[in-house]
Amino acid sequence: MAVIEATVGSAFGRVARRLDRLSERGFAVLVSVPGLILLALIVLPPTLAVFGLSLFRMELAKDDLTPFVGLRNYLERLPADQVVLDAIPRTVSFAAITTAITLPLALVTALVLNRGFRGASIFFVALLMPWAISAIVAGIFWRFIFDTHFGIVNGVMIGLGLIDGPINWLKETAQAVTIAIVAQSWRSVPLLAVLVLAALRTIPSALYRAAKMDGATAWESFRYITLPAIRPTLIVVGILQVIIGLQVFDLLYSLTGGGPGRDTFVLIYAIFETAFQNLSFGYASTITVVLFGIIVACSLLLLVFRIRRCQPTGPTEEEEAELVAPSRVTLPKLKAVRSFGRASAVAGHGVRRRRVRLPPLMGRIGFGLGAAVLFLFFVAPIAWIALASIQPESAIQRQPPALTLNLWLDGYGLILNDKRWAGSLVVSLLTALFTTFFVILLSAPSAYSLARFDLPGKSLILAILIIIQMVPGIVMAIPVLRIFQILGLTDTVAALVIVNVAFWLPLIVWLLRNFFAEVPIALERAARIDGCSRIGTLFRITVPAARPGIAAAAILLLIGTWNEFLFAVILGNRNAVTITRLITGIQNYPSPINQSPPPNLLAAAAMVAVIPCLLLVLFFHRRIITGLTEGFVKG
Amino acid sequence: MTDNASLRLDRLARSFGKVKALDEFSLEIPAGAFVTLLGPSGCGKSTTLNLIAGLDRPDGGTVYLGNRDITAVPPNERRMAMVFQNYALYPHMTAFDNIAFSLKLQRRPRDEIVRRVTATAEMLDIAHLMKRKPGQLSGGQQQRVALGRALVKEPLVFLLDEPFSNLDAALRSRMRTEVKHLHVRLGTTSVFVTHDQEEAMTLSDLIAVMRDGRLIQFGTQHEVYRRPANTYVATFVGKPRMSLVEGSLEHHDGGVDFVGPDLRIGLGAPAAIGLSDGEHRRVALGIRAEDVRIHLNGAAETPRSFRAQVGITEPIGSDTFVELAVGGATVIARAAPDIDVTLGQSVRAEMTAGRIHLFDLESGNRLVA
Repeated sequence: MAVIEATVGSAFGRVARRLDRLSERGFAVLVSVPGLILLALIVLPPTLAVFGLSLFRMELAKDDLTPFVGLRNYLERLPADQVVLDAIPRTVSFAAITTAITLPLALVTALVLNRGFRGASIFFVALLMPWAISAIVAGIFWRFIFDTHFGIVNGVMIGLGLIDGPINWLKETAQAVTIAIVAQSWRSVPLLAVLVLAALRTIPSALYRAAKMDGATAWESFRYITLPAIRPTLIVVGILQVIIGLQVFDLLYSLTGGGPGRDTFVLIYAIFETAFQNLSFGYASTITVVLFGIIVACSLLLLVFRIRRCQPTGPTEEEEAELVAPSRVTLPKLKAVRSFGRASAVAGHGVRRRRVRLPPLMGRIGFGLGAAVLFLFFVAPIAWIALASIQPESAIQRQPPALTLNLWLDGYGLILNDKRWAGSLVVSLLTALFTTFFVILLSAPSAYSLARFDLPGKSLILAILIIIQMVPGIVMAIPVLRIFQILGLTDTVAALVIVNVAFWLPLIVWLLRNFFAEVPIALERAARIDGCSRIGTLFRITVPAARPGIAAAAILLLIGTWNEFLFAVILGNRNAVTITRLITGIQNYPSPINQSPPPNLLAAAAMVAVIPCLLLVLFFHRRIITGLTEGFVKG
Repeated sequence: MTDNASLRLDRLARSFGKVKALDEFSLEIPAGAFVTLLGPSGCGKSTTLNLIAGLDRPDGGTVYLGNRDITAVPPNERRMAMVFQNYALYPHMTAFDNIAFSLKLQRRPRDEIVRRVTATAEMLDIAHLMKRKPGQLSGGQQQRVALGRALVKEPLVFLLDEPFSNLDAALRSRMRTEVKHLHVRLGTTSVFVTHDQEEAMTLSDLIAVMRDGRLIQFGTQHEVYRRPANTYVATFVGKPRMSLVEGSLEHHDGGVDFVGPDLRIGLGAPAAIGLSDGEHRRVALGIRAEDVRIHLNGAAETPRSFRAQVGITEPIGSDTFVELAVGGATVIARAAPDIDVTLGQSVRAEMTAGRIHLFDLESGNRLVA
């Protein structure tokens, strides 16, 4: 046969033919095992090691002794440590309050976007910008805005005569905490809005038409159709936001520094200080386990919801039959419509209900205003920093600022010509590129296998993948730093890449699995019948068909790695300093004397650190949205 | 057509978890025949097709192509082609590349590929679409490209998995005719999977009616229609459904009568109708609509005539189907399009001799020859 003759010549052909003769399960195991073993090797041990470390006394700042102390860290040291004990309720309430603010904002944003209007894609770009900016730089942005001497908030308030003199916003507890919460919500709304929007889009429009026929007002449609349909998503997304809120660190590090006093000193901050400033690895691990416990409790809640939502999609032949059947999603909604229909019928017999109907023009104006406010909320902080970065110092230092068309463009040149800055940009770029490359390469085979085949222990693997995504990076950080110290790998790009790969691998396996599952299995079957080997089918059909998803994963990885701060700050020192790391030390730049740089130069530096990500958002916002929707990204 | 294009399925078994999709399923498909696997969803027909294609492997049993055991041969080495329900066109390739893909994999020379793809495209009337990608094609056009992709290989066996189910009614019947033309012209062994009995009837040389992973009846469309093996086949094949009336048999000298509520039909001598031996206490009488005639102007009573009330009528243009209520059962009769009956009217109707089916009520099996 021609097919055989053509391929049998080469060694590749022989391998491909052998693979074709494996049973489906054999092939599935062969494809997935290398990636899963790697995952187990580089992700699980550091995560588990933190439990072990928490049972030791490790005070590297004092001595090299590491005696085993059993549970003494938990039973004696922790209860006596008022700083950490205070941080626990503080962390939880910070997470709860940011969620309470973020979720309604995200819902409103999603509703606005779901309406579809001219310029919606600009709105999408604006929405994604706060998400794409690293938390570290976001902190710098908001501090810039609320700065006592050159902050725009003071400037505007003085200009309007609301206050007599500048206020030191970040010095007062209530104000500082509020600013931190607003800043965190600003960063969190985009992801949540995208997820809620995805849920909104699954609601068949016929339901709204049916409700209209039943006499529903806009509010009633929302109450009886929209809300029941997206309730599961709102719950899941809310829990997700709590988990994210529990892990906020970068933002507080650059915005408040944990202050004033210790008023924004959260658990991760405590771990960070204990581990990397006091070098008390053992006790820091103990605090980590405490935080981990809180997060796991929330994750378990999430897991229950997720597992219920994503039943594994086995490639059975009955799939076709399922396609014909109405999708599960529609059923509860139909019920909602029905019960609503009853309600309106009753009302029709009784008293005619009052109905507030805005004239269409008013409605449209209201909608436009709302959209504009949201748009400004997302864009204005960034726009202000961008503007400040090209204003002369004299214009910025004034309150209110005296903006001028006489632009100052030296800032970017100064930054890019500086050896340390240029070096950091290279380090960040290399880390991002290598991490992206290796994560995709290593995760794709396992992801494919998990998407297509009934692997033994598949549901366990999926559950672990979800749980592990909820593990904060700092859990890995302590053991990893120790390992790299022993290997002599600290302060290298390689170390940054290795840690980042380990950190991102579970998420990307999960994400790519979802994308591969979307490639119709019939495509692969068609290719097999057309004469493709199993391996050939993967490279010629499956990967090209999943390319949009793989691209989305790659963009998420690029942005995520570029913005990574925690690993960068503990592993980088002199050689491997990323941009996020460098910018936190900007106070000592560029003037040799101990003095802050001028605000316009600070703004330019902050812009340099985020422009690559903003460009990615600008060009690939559609991909990013698919990626976020499919993957439930951390952070 | 050479004999190496015949297919033999020998006691195939395949389970998915606890569900037995195929249970000792055997079937012989002669070379060059157009065979349809007919049954409701979940009956195992798609599983059978996947096993023939090599996309799945049986838990037990053997697949022979000609005399060769191909059970373990991977699909890419089987020289078969398949048309899928959702077309399964490669989204990142143009229509041309979709059709050319299998030839490229065979390392055919470029000019041969162009020649064969062009010829196929012209045959299917899609030559002008070759530069488009699947997303830019209508459903019917995608269907043609998918057909082209299968045809261009010049396979030994064609496999068609509900290929028309996503098309609208008009397009569906057109594609049906075209596929029949193609088969007559090429004579390639074809296995066609559908749950649509009309499709099966119009296209096939042979129909295999399946249920629950088993073969119920295998025969020409005439056999399946005229001599259904049991009530399942009888009611699944044919439109409108065959009418079934429950009752019993009464033997008297020289003959046997079917007796139901308000109904007595003389069947003639048991030997003449090929009634199998046995008690047959409870039976079902089956009759197709075209075998029931309505007499409006008082024709003479015959042993096979009965009185009934007119229910609703369904005019379809060429004919009108009339529901007749008789003793709690409903019998459908085919009548002339201009028949003048009204709801509730009492009429006399007659069943055609030799077209009356009898089934055992318990097993559902056919009792007459």
